[in-house]
Amino acid sequence: MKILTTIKKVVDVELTINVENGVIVEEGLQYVMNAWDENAVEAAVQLKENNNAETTMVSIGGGEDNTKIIRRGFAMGIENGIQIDDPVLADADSFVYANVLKKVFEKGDYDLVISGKQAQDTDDGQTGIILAESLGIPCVSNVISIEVVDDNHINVSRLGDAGTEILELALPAVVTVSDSINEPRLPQMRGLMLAKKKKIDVMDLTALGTSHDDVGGTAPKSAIVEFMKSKTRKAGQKFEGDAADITAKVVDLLASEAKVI
Amino acid sequence: MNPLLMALVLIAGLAVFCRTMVRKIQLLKALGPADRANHLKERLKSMVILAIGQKRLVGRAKERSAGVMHALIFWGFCVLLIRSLTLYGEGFVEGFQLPFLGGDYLGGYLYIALKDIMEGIVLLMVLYAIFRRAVLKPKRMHNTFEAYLVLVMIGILMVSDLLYDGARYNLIQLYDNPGNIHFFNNPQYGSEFIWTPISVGAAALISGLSMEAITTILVIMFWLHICTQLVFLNVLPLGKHFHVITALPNVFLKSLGYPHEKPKLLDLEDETAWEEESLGINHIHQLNWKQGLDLYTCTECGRCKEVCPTYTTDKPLNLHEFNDKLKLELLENSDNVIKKAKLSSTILNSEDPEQIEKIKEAAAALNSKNRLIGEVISEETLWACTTCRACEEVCPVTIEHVPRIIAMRQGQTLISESYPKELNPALKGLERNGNPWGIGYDKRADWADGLDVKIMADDSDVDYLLWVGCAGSFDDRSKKVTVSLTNILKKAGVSFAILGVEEKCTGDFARRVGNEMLFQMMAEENIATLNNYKVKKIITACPHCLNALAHDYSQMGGNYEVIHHTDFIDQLVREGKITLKQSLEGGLTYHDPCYLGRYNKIYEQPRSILRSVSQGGLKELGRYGSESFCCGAGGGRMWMEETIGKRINLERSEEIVGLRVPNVAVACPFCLTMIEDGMKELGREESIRTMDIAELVEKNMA
Amino acid sequence: MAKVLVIADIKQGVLKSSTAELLSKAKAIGAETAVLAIGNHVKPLISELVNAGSDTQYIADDPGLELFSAGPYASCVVDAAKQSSADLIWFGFSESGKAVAPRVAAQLGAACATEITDIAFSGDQVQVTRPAIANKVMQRVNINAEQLVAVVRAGAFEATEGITGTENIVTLSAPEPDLKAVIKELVSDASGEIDLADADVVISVGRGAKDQDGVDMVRELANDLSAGFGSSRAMVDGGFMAHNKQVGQTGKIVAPSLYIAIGISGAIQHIAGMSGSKVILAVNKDPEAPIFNVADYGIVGDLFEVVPILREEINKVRS
Repeated sequence: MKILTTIKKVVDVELTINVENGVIVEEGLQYVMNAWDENAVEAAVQLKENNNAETTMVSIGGGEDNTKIIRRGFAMGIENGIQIDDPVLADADSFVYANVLKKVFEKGDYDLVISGKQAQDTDDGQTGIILAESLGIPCVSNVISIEVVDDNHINVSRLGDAGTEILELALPAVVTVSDSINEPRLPQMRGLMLAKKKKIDVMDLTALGTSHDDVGGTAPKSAIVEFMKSKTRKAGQKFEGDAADITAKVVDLLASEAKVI
Repeated sequence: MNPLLMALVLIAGLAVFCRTMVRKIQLLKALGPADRANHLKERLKSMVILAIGQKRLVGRAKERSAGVMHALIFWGFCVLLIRSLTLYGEGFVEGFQLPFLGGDYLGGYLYIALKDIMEGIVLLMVLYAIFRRAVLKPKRMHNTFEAYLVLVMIGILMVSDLLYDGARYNLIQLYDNPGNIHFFNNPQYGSEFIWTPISVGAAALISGLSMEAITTILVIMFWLHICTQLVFLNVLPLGKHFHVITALPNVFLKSLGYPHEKPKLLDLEDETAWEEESLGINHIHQLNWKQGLDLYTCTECGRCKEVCPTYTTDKPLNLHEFNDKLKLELLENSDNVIKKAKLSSTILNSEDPEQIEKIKEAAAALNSKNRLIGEVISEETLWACTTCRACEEVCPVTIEHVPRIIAMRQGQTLISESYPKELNPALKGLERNGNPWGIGYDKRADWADGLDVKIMADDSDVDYLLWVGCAGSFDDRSKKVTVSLTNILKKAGVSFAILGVEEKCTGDFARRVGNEMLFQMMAEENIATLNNYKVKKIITACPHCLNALAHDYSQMGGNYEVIHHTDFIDQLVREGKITLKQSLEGGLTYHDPCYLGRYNKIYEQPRSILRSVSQGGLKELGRYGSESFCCGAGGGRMWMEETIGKRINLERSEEIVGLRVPNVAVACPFCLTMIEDGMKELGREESIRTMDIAELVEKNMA
Repeated sequence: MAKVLVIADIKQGVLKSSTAELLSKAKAIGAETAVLAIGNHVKPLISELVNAGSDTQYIADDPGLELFSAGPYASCVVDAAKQSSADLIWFGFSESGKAVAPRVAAQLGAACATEITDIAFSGDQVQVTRPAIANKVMQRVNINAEQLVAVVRAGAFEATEGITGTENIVTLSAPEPDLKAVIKELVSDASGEIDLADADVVISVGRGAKDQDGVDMVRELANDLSAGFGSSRAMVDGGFMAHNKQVGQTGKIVAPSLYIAIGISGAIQHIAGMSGSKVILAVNKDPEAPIFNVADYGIVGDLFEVVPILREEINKVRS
């Protein structure tokens, strides 16, 4: 079975994000592998360990930070790494990413695509699903377990609105994973040393056999015009003292001031 | 007596003994290298105090009677060693005397008097020892056949010598010395029997027998003594009594300065080490010879178990069993280990690369097969340790328990990649944001907002760097301690700055859980930052940071003078830069942090401060000072759950509650968290206030 | 005039509040409104759908649609979208919505936006506002496609009182089942309890409640207010509350009118799950607990003392 995992470089969401003039301030920011993609990588590596599978990861983007996350994927156990490095893709949205990934998929003839269910920077959660739709293959999102049935089928569990849904998918298929699916392993020294030696297959759009126009990059469906810092909640009124007194007071405020009861 | 027989017996006994010893020494030599042949004078001093002086037995209030008992047996042995030589001589030549200890010298008389008393004392102590083992049965003790056998043999040695001398006395005094037995009889000092009352007493026990019977007893007791002694000598290397021979060298070779061998700085790029799986200790043949000697020397006394916070709370870390298991594994593999060392040394003689390869292969085939963790020691045992060093502090023969645990953890993490995965969030946090909570590094200096604290990046021309540490930077409770400390420093007019967001976790806990990679990464980055600002002196409120910066970092080229904040505050008080008011009411106790006390020997400075602020004085806990009971957070355990037995912090908190004081002072952010949590769990957080010394000083400062 | 198609959020035969909220917003921006109900036995909801403010009701009612399946549901939406010529297709915030919206957008060649908090029009230009980077920033996004498929954040739009619609039912034919993604089983988490995502008032219990008795005591308060009863992670980990009760970054995100946090310290992950609430009340023994940094009203006290008094006082007010 050939598994393709998609990984994305995102900003470390633990950091404070500052916005100036509608643009995110880059200074001091550091970039890491999208957390949900770590789950995807872990899922792929586990499938490889327990079944006869070959794993490949693909990342779209250039620069040292991107290379770093591919090396992390190697260190976690992914065997092959593809990097689509083309400057025109800098502002790509989910549709463009999906189209690029479609080309990668077709080139490698994979059986299963595993993605994180969303990326920590955009929180869009669309790319994997659009990819499946454009390839005409089945897709299940928010998956919490993957089990191989045979060469052509897998069973997946998904967290839905009514409970846990269990489905059988015909391969090839796309699966986007929830963080509940597994605990991603921490790359260890041995893996990191091996990762340094592995070769990354770097391609631009031309090498991939396509063009910016072809992937819809020249006419994007949406464009971010501005960023704003989110309003954080401020502390309100805090009451200390006799329990009966202050509780009565607060309930009164809830009714009269906040008008919620 | 009978030179031929004596010679045969001696040769036989000593030959067997030498053979055994040669094997034991060969085995040690075949193990890895250790750098202990240095500072000979200092080593001699510690050997005299600890081994010969039996300080940890006699000097420890707990079970002092047992300590004195053992000390007397040991000292008795030392004295009687000379006697044995005389007896061997007697076997060859009648009336054999050692130089200056013969019948013409006062020294000789004094010696036999001493010998006589010691034999009596040792006999009494042996009886007491048997009584303790069989009747009192202290929990820490491990009762085995060997234990009783050795005690009985020592008893036999004493009894046989006393009866031998008793028989001599009878033959000389009662039967007019028909065999012309030699004895001291100097006109100035008198007959030897005036000086040996106990032997004379033994004589009285058999005085009623006939001359022939007494002569027989004389001969039997002589040979019984000699043979028992030689048998005893050969029994020693077989079990825990090997310590009789190895204890003095083991103490002589103990770690000086730093209380135990520092974790080895592993070369993670060393391909061969990866191939041979020799990063950390994974197999028994990877121990170094000093660690091998430690294994030989365990007396199975069980004091380590008694003080171990982990064992006390029902977790599966039984330290002498740990030692025992490793020892057995080593002995089982001794042939191969020795062969391998011999084989490997032939590589030096060879020039042919192919032949070297062959030798290497053959040597590798002799590697001990068992993975230590999993097949000899369980994983739970390995990871239960908090690295508190209580065991090392009480061990009478200075065995270094903790370094081998850390080395095995190194092996588990690097080679087996098998470590408690619950550590991952903390390790990942360290990697990404330089702190185990994984909070954005950009928030590390937020505690200082609006406080007018200098940052190195703005002005590095200061006397001291205040190393805040992760807890002091990110943990809400500990941030208060940091603020208190900065207020004290400002009040005292100290010139200091912080690194702010450039500071990263020292990597202490990563090192203690065997993650050398992460530790070295953090150390490298921090050292570069510190050296960039030419930092020389560092003040810190965290003993773990203190320990890492002062001792671990020097392995990687970072050499700094690191001062704990309690030490520094004490200095400030002495210099008159701050004045303390004795305004704290209600009384106080102090919980010594392991990494401040047992690792860095700072006990008095915190106490001096606390006595100055507490109206009600300082009440000591039962387990205090160098025997302080761990809070449970060390060794990376802060980031792991305790699933077995009782929680260590609860055990300690109960002890504190039992002291009935309203305040407990701590000097470490981990201790602060663990003890405060313990108090909350016991519902005592209102009645007992847990405070860091910095907070107490700030509150009680003029 | 814009045409808005709202996809009704139906759980176990109950119409969720998001439907009315989205329809109200559509009316507020002056659009023609249509609603699509997909499921089995959804016809009984028609009058409710009308009263929620829809001018046309597309009904896809079929046994085969009883269990959620992304493929067939997407087909229904595309069908309704084409028939209604909708410019804007809105889903309420649900797993189903998130799974179906991108498919619909891909099939229609429309733009897709997840978790929008607002929509604005300047002339022909449609612009949406949505959060990004774990809610730390907001993005204003210009939509350049003819159609927009959007999933709307919980509680972003408000239902207007007294809104009306017109009955105009269009029955859709049942779509083909997805043969490549076959549903084998649904392990339901329905427990007859009030759904957190929907509740107007949510009460959550944390470590301060200590044990089952404490949890049960707080539950009484939730029952009094007919509120959703949620939990911090600690109580789920401790086995006192079910997994699907966890409010937090990795659990349920809720945005009720009133959120009461009892005995919860306020870890960042928990706050991420409820910071969208209109009003937050926190009860905690520790005056320094981080929850007080986001609470509009804070009571510092022992919850075992405070909760009974809260119940009493609230009962007084309501009667």
